[in-house]
This record gives sequence, structure tokens and C-alpha cells, in this order.
Amino acid sequence: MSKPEYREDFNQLIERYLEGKASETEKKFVEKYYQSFEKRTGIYNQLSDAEKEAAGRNLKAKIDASIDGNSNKKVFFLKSTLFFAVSAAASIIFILAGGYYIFNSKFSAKVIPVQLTAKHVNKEDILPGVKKATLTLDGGENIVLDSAQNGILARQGNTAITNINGALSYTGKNDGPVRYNTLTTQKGQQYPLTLSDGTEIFLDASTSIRFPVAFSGNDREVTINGRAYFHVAENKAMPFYVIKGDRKVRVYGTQFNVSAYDNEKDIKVTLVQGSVQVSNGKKATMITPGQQAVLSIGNEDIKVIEHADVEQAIAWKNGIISMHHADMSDILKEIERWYDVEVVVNGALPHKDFYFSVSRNVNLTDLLRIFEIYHIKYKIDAQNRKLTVNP
Amino acid sequence: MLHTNETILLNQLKKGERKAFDQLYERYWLLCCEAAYKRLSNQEQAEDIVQNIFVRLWINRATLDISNIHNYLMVAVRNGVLDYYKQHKHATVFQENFDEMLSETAMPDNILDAKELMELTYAFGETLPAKRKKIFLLHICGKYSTSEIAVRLKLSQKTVQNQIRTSLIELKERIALFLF
Repeated sequence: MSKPEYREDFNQLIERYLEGKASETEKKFVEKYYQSFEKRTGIYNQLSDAEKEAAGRNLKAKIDASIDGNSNKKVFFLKSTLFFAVSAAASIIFILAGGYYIFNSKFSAKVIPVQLTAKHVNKEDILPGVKKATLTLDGGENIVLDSAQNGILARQGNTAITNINGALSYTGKNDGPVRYNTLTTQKGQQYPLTLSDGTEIFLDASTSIRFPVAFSGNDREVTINGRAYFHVAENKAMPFYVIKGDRKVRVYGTQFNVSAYDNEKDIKVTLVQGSVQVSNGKKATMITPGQQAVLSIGNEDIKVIEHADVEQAIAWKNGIISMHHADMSDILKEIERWYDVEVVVNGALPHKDFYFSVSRNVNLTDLLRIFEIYHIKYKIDAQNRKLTVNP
Repeated sequence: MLHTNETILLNQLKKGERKAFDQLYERYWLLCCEAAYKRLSNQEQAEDIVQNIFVRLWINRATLDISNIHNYLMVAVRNGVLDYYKQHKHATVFQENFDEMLSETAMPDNILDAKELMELTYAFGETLPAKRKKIFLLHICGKYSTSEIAVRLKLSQKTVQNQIRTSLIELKERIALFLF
């Protein structure tokens, strides 16, 4: 009695509803289902009046910009966030991944229902990460970025660096010497970046990317430490490389996720769209959409996971903490990075198979209800940003 | 009073008065954002949907025929959320909630929610084609026996029976009718 088999029915139902082809019974269900979310705790009612006002003003500014920039056109306007850069092709991959769930019994594990109600911030809670980063210019100057600054931050040669609505972008052509900038997120931070060639990179927490302010020569090369989602602009004449140590990903215009943290033994490249070649200096292999390449330290063979859990690999980018068959150490690492806490474990971690998804917007105590389900005790010391787990 | 005001605002909007549009935004942005957020659990996506709605409201102001702006916006948010879901199916809370609804362990901690969940699950079963419906009702709706709900919610069976008697009996009768 696996549940995912009803997903397709559900999805078709929604599509029929949107096309106006749903029957009365179907309409009734869709509307009832939509309505059932109403009693959930929202997010805006937890903001202070000042924060609420700021959110309302920001959104209004975007609306005004859309209207005034498009007053002559009918209904077309650009979506501004990187989240929407995920194209229709990416959704096809999600559907394929969904199909895989149906046929592979490994995935018929129970979904743990997590009731995230009565969310309130108290002194002993820790808030989730935010959109923030530090940009290091060619000369070593540091600029802290958030959604507050709008406009041109700096110029490097012929390249202008702008930060608009919490997104950093580079525009301009190369002129002579290659200048490198580095964008770094600390724990509990993430940030979107658009390179001068139009390539979009979304940095997760605890990540740094070094890149030329404008590309020149035969290659486009960036180095990474951490996790990022790439949407590489196609340019056959200038292949794009993502580099970490001797590990290299050669890209042919595509979308993929790279997870390459120093404190994790594997580098994982998960392909959403297009094709990439991964290499470790000794061996190289091509992967296709839906596959994941795993490069382990001390192992010159590259492992390719045929039907990777793409959904889980890129969930972070969509604002979701997704753990499918994860063990506790994976979850704790994720918590350390996103909630910027030090995790202390007293005793041995139990071998438990976790399977859940929650929004990345929840406070730490809400996330830790997962542990309560498994009867795992923990303590939060908000002042010292410390989470003690007593398994 | 409020109603009259809004009729005036809507008329002004039709004529292209930006101030009327601004006022409508002031009144409704929060309600719209919160509604979208509740379904998506993502502030950025929620605001993107609401941005879209207000931009369209302005662009199409002359041709739109809105009698009740509150209803119009709520339906627009619903369509926005569903449309977003259509594009990004597998990475949304909107679907996870559906999976949870059908999972064996899903059982809210109070009777009212349990009743709602049950009715919702049944309403979904109703949309399935005959053969699949039969299986669905047996396997998924089958979990709602009064005794089981009583055990899970730590209530006496009597209490459960009394409180959700009508829907449960109705549900069982309909399943029975359907099966035999």
C-alpha cells in the first residue's frame, strides 16, 4: 500500500483543475485540500511590525518595478529569483525521479508526518539561516552582502558588480589582467550569484566560490568548497569547469548540484539537466540527467549512481531540508551548517533511518521534533549556539 | 462601510488610478502572502506568486470584472499556488502534505483534525476511477476504525464514536455500499 502511487492521480487532478476540466467531485477535493492548509501557522504573523512593514514594502517595490518596466507590454515580465531559473526541463527530471519512487520499493518507506504548528520563537530557540554572504574583491577588500544594499557595489576593470534584492551579479567584458573575486557564505547563510557569462550559481551555507570577474582565454574556471547549484550558460567555445583540488567537473551548458564540503569524504555531483564530465585527475566519466557521480578521497574510481535521488540533492535550493534514508550524522551536519550551531554528541549515535522533509524556514526546535518522534533527547543552548544530543 | 470603500477603490483602479491600486495592495498583500506561504512553506515563492497577482491586477485592470476583491485575490492565490505546484511538483510541501495524508502514521492529535483528515482522504478517494477507488477505500480509508483512532489519540472508543460518529458511520456505509 505504497502512497506514491497516488501522486500521479493527485498531480493529474491539479492539472485538470487548472485547465478547468475537473469534475465537481474533483473540484471539491482540490478546494478542500487547499483549504486544509489554512489552519497552519503562517510566517508573517511571527514577524515584528517593523519586519512586516519592510517585507510589504520590498514586495511592493518589486511590483512597482515590474509594472513600470513593462507598462507597454501585456502580461509578460521576468521572474526575479534564481528559484525560477529552474526550467521546464528540470521539472521533467523531478517527474522522472517521482516515477522511480513508484518502481523501487526501497523508497516506500513511511513518511513521518511532522506537525509544525504553534511555532513561536523563544529564548531557547535558534532561527534558520538567512540570505547573506561576504564578497572578497581582487584587492582583498571584503563587502558583506544582504538584501539591504541595492545597486552597483564596485567595479573591477570593465566589470560592474551589482547587488539587487539580495542577488549578486557581474556584467562586463574582460580587459587585460584576470581578476578573481571570492564569494563566501558562513554557516547559516546562502546567496545567489550571476557570473559575467550569465551562469547562475546558488551558494548554500558554509561555501566559497572563487571566480574571475570576467572570463577570458579558452576556459571558464571556478573553484568551489562547499555546496552550490549551478545553471551554466551555454558556450561551446569556452567550456565551464568547476574545480575542487584535483577533482574537476567539465560542463556542457547545464544544471547540476555540487556538494564538496571539506568535512565530508565524498564530493557529489548530481545532474539535473544537460551533461557533465567529472574527473579526479586519474579517471573521468560522463554522467547524464538523474545520475550522481561520487568522488571519494583515496579512491581513484568514480562511482556513478544510476538513479540518484535528485530531489533530495537539490531540495536545499528549493528551501527544503530533505532527508531520505539519512542517518543521524548526516542530519546533524546539515543542522550545524544551516542553523550555525555547534553539535555535541554524548555517546554513540543510533543507526536509524530517517525519512522526512521540512521547510528550511523552520526554527531549530521545530526541526528537532523529528528527534522527538524517535525518542532522542537533546538540549539547545541558544546563547552559545550549541546543540547537545544525548542519544 | 468597508464594502462601499472597496467598490470605490475598484472603480478608481479601473480608471487607472495608481493610488487605488496602492491602497488595495496595502490592505491585502499580507493576507495573500500568508495564504500562499501556508501552502508552500517558502516565503520567496509565496511572495513571487503574490507579486505576479498584483502585477496582473494592474496590467489587466481595465478588462477585469471584479465584484469582490477579497474573493478575487484568494482565488488568484489559489491558482498561483496550484500553478506553481504544477511546475515544481516534487519539491513542495503541497505534495508532501498529500503523501502524509495517505501515510499509515498520519493521525492528528485532536478529533477535529482527525475528522477533517478522514473526510479529505475520502474526498480524494471519490475522484479515483472505480477499480482504483475500491482498493483505495479498502487500504487507505480502512485505517480509520474508531478503535484505532481511540488508541492513537488516547481517548475512549466511546468518545471517538460520539464525536465523529456521523462522518465515520457515513463513510463506512458508503464503503460498504461500494464494496458489496
